[in-house]
Amino acid sequence: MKILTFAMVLRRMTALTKVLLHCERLRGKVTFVSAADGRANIVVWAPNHAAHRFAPQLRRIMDVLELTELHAVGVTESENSQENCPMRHTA
Amino acid sequence: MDKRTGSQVIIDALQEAGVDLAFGYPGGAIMPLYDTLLDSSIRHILTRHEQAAVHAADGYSRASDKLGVCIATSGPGATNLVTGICTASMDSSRVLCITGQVNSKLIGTDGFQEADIIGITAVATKQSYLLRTTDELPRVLAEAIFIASSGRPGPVIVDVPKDVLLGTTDRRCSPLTELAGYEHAPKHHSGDLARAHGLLSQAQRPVCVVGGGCRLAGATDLFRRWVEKTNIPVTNTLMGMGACDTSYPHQLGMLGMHGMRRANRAVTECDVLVALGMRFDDRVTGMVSKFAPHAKVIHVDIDEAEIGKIVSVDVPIHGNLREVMQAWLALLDTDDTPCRQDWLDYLHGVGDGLRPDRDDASGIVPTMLIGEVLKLAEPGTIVVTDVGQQQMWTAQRVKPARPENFITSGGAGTMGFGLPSAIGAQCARPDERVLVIAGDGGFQMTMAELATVRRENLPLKILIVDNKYLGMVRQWQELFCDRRYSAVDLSDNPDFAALARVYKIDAFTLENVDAMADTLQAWWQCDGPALLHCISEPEDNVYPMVPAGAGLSDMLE
Repeated sequence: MKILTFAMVLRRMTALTKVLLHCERLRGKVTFVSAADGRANIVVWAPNHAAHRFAPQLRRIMDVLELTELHAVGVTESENSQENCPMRHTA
Repeated sequence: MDKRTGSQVIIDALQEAGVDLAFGYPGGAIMPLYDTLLDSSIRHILTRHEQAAVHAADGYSRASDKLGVCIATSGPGATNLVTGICTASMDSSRVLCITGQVNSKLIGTDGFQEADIIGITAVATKQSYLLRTTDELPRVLAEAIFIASSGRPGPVIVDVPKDVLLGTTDRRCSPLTELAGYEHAPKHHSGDLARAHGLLSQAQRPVCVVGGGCRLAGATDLFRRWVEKTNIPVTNTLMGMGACDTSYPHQLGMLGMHGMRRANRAVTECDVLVALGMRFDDRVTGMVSKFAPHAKVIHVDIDEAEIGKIVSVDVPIHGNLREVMQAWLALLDTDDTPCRQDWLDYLHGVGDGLRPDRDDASGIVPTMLIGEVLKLAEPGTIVVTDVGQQQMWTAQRVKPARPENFITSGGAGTMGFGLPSAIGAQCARPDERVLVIAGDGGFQMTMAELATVRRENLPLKILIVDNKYLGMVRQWQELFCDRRYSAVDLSDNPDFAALARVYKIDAFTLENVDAMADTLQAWWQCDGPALLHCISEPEDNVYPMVPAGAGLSDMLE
């Protein structure tokens, strides 16, 4: 798994639903969202084989005006569970 | 400035964008737009189901490379568009859907014929809008038309409450050429192109895979010149049919699950693979780890998300294929055309893998039938297929003059697409022959459109290959489920010729080989629409075939 962190600027805040649905479709688990005033930050646990697809496909959403991948962190198998996710209780 | 109603603003915007035809189906919420339509120059084609309207708009767009427009009312009218929207999305079609919505005050109250079509289609459209005020309408329509038509095209839906259609505004729609945050015309990096050129120059066994992006970019002529200059063997995806001149000696045909043996062999053994406007669909790649295992991959696409999505790429080129071809041709001007005769001879020696038409059958062999029908077609004929075995048999044999001359549902594989999309194609190009090849299953999904064909007197030539089965599913059940046929029997099909006659469409039935030549001629020579119902051998399969999950080198033949 990889932990992906994105910061984005949205044309419409409703685009956030598309972003979150698309993360699910790519088999990611969204563990943190904060959003206000046309900006959003999200953290997604992504399977290794699909992690490279997130940024370009989220960027393709018309109402995502800017998207920055802040950092990607690899996670070992033993850490690979929702219980170990530090963001879990803040999501 | 004069006040214009929301409906008038929509019509103005469509006319400004060059739209002269729309497909649709009226209803309560969209009535104001239909009233305004009466006073406009836009021709409206009434389909018999909203799904057919969006497929027709899609077919119109694919045949003409113009914007296809469909109109539907709220609730079920809008939800009936969903399959067509997904179809257009998967194949990157320029389609604009305008739906009526209940009055603004009723939205969210579960009002009569209310459906959250924006929520339903949010992830299937390239963009979607729910209008709140009439003043927004000019800007939204300009954006919608621009987004649907530019970059990697795709369907856009504009959902307009009835009060917004009836309201007035003094704002006007101005066509857009830019939109903040939307990179619709990415400029490729010249360094990437130089690397690609260098790689291809050094290649001993290169192959090009061309997809639907070639047509969408308007790059067909440039691509053909590039092929001649590089002397590269070319294979195509289903959506890339017709991109390569069929007389070109290096044309290998379609690759993938039902592709030609030589095409799949070329990909498996190539040292450089140039992928142009294609997206490495699983029907194309088979098992990805076995796809082009020895090759350096060059991938050109306007959609950055497609580059590296499935297959690792050595040279990514993010840009418009037309511009990339122009620039690449400029680099080739100083080069001698490379000779790759040994590689070409080898590939041609591999053969296509198509089985000869059976001569032991008592009935009509569908591959022979389709082959004979395609011989009737003039070079400019637009061939439209439905989805299933007949689609693959046709794709293996058809030689379209241009990519706009072969229309099929590729990514979505939407049964029922054939007849309505052919209606759209015939409307787009009324002077050209349109041939529809459908199976008995797919045809029955949208056969009510025979009424539209009759009403508009569209001279479609409709072939139904009736094997009394959902043939492709049956084939898979035969090959992979020990012949345990489940829910594929269509032995009680109606008499499709009789059905067509009820719609006042000339119709013929073909049941034995001896009558084939005469019947085909009689059908093909009809002036108006004509349907040919052919009862074919029931259990013929599409070969060659790469089983799902296997590599392209593991073909069943």
